[in-house]
This record gives sequence, structure tokens and C-alpha cells, in this order.
Amino acid sequence: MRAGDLTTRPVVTLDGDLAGEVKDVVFDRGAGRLEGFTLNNHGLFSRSRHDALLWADVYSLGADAVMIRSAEVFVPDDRLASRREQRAANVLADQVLTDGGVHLGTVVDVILEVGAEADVVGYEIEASENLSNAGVRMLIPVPAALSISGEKLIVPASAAEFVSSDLAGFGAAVEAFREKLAVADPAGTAASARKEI
Amino acid sequence: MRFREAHHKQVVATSTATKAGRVEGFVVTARPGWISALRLGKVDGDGSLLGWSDLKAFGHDAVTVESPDAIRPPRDADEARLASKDLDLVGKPALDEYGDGLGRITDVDFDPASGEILAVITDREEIRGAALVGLGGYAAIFAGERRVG
Repeated sequence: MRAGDLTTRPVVTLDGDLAGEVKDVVFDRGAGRLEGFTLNNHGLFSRSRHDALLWADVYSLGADAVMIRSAEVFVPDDRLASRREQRAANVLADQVLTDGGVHLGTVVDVILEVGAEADVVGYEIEASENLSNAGVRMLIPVPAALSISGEKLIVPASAAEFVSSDLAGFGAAVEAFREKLAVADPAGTAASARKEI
Repeated sequence: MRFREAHHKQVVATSTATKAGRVEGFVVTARPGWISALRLGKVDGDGSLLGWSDLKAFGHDAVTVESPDAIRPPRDADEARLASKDLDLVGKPALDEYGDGLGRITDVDFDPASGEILAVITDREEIRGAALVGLGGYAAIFAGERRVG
């Protein structure tokens, strides 16, 4: 699913009360996964608030609501504030480069695979002129350990082979891409996967 | 019987053979879905609730109660909250516990003999009343099927 779709999603308790709505999606970029959400009050006025929801306290992430046991699970947002610079808004417009130096495109959204964790498995990019469909939005898989340097995201050159256009088939593309990475580099020690920020 | 067809049914007091009010809404508790009281309108006096256990019968043409004295105000703030129109099932969004929408509730099927909620009907599907696990101002929450994957 797209992280961008989560903004304004209602946060609802199992008792059926509206506890807030999702404001920002906060990522742990180093670990490549969703850490939690900052919250807004529903409605037009007095929207801002200073609490947050950690991913570990999410009961379930559904198509129409983020479910929680009760509003007591909220934490002060300074639990996420140290990583505020990592929220999705800062990933957007980042440039995706291969480790071979080819500019693939500009990030417009983050693709998550939701299970016990919500892992970043790819990015939706606006393709650069280096891809056959320049300007079109494509989905590109990223390795489990992503390297980030400023506003540039570095992906293995092979990622360009697994670019796809539909979210439905993207899961298979991610698996195929990661299998290929494992075959090429079973110990996972390739330099391109270990660049520090 | 359905909530929509029961709406505005007359409540008749058998001891006085008089109209004591009419059905305006249903006070529902979850886990499992049950009608705990009727919310009444056009009542002479302060009362607005008729506990399910206080009514004689929920008949096809009228609801009967022994005496109009059984009609009362909410006992406490909790009951007042449960009885508020905010928690009316009809018109409320239905969600499963996993956060997936099940549609908007259009009607409710109940057993007039026991007050048990048999089914909640949405614009998308029909859900067993026993699956109602939560009822709040925003949505009615239902137990979900086990997710795949």
C-alpha cells in the first residue's frame, strides 16, 4: 500500500469511537520501516495535537481505519520527534540513483508491506528520462537495508529491472528483486547496501 | 422484525388501555448485540426509556407494557450515553476490528421475543448480530474473519 494514502485515515478504537486521524507517517529510514503516526483532530478547527501512535500499538491497519484498543495507547509526540526529519514528507522529492550512478526518478510516495511490521519495500517514483517511460509513475523495489545520503536514495542497479507500474503485482516484483540480491551477494556485504548516512 | 418497521410503533399500557408513547429508537449493547431498552417519544411525563425487561410484548401492531410508570428517565450518565441518538445503529458506518469498512448500516433485524439482535444490515452485506463487539459515536465494530497473509 502507499504511505501517502494513510494521511487523514481515521484512528478508531475497538469501542467504535474516533480517537483522531493520521497526520504524518513517520519512518525509521535506517531500518526501512514505519515507526508510527503523528495525529490530528478530526474536523476543520483545532486540528493540531501533540500526541502520537507507535506502530507497535496499532491493533490493525485496515482500508478504512487504523484500529487501536483505546486512546490510552497514545504517547507524547516527542517519542517520534527525534525522527521527525524522517517523515514521509522528507522522502518525497528525493532522487533515486542506482549505485551505478543512473538517476531513476523522483520519489512521490512510499510503498509499504504491512505485517507485524510495516516495512518499506519500494518507492513510487516519477520516472526520469533514463527509463523508457519518462515522466510516468513507476514502482521500484528497494532492498531491506536501504542506503540514504542526504536527499539521494541509492539502490542497486538491478532494481531498475524490477520496476513495475501496478501495485497489485508489486509484491512479486519485490520478492524477485530480493531473491536476485541474495543470489548475487548472499552475505549481504556489498558496499552499495552499507553506505552510512 | 426490523428497526425501520418498528420505528414509531405505539406503546400501549395494558392496565390503563391507553397510549403511553411511541418507539423512537433502540438502546443497544454490544458483545453480543442486544436491545437493552427502547427510547420512546410522545410520553406524558419525564420518562423516555422503557427497559426491555419491563415490556410485556413487542407485538406486530403495538408494544405493550403493564403500566406507563415503567417508562423512566436514564438511571445514570452511563445509561444516558448508551441511550443517546449518537449511538443509533441505523445510519452508522460499520467497520470490522481490522479497520476495513463493511458499509453503512441501513437496518437491523431483531427477535421481538428476546430483544436479541439477529443481523445488522448494511448497504453492502448482512452481518450476524453476535459479531457486534463495539458501538461508539463514530462506528459499529464487528469481529472480523481471520485475515489471510
